[in-house]
Amino acid sequence: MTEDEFVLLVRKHQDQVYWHAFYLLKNSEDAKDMTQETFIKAWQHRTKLRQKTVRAWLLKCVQNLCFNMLKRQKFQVQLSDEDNETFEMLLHKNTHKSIPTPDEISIKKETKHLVHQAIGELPPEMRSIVIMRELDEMSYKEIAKVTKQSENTVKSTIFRARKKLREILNRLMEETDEPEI
Amino acid sequence: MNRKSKVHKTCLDCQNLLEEYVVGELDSSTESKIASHLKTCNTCQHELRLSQAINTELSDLPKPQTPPEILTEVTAYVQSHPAKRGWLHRFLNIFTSWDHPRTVILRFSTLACLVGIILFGVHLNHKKVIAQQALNDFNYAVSKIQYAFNKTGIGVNDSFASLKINEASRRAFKSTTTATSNVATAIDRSLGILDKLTGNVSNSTNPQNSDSNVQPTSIQ
Repeated sequence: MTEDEFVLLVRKHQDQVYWHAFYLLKNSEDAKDMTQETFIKAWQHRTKLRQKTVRAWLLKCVQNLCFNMLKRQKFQVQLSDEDNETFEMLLHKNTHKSIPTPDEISIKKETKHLVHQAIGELPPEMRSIVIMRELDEMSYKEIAKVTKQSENTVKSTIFRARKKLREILNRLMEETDEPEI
Repeated sequence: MNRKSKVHKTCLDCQNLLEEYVVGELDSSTESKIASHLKTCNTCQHELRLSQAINTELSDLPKPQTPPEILTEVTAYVQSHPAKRGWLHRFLNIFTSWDHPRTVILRFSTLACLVGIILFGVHLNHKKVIAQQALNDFNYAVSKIQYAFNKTGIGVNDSFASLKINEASRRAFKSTTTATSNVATAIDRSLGILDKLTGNVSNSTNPQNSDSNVQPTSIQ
């Protein structure tokens, strides 16, 4: 693979790798570092890369790097308020959505905030699979290739993650005395 | 008590399948059962609304903007660590580069050449092995013949006692030797007779040495 081919590869996959790192680490600086490290590793192992499996390779690599970082820094699943605010702020930055009406804001804003907080509280392994499914819109088969699990295991993990999200959301709503949705 | 636990179990079953229900991955009968339960159960309705809210948010997750520094810094790294251009690297790259049509043709041609060379080598080696085997067999046969000659020499030149064979075999050998010697004597005698005959013939052809009284000796 030439340098030009590799730069094209980076352009093609950088968003997906960065989103993955961002949702796992909940920090834009760390996510940027992990994304760069992923592509540097890819360049170092370029002879092993194959066009058909390069996306799975990159996602697996960024996933491992993020998990290692979470372990190293002993990241807590429950973020501090300050970090959470930053995560929420970053999460809604540069999203191209229609501007909601004041009524919608009043009803949905807190729910949205709580759902995003609940996503942040999922265990990293579950979060990673949910991100691949929901954000990257990957099929069960593609996710299974990345995680080296069976399709059925991936499917069951996704539904377990959704149930867990509901449990977390219930708890968060009780804590904040949020009115029923 | 029974009714309450039954209702509770139904709610649990319903809530366990809510996510699959929301995304429509249940079979029709289970889906209709859950739908009918949801009409009458406020708790499950609340859980359904939560599940639907989660589903909405998941399908509309914000995609944070990727910092442009990633591309610039990775590009800078790649340029400062360029790919090696040695002949070995280029040769290996044939097998590992991207699926460009030209590369695929080159890859298959190289692979075919390699396979051909390997098969030819195997063929040559096979022939060499066969020749070596034949030579070994021939040498073995020659050594056996040589051994037999040596043994025969011993049998003829030495006495049979020195061969250390048992009595029965010795008797057989003696009989054979006697027979052989008889045959040899007979042949000698025959040859002598033939010599005489030829001598007579030559004498008869020579008018000076002709002797009409000489009678041929009968073979005894």
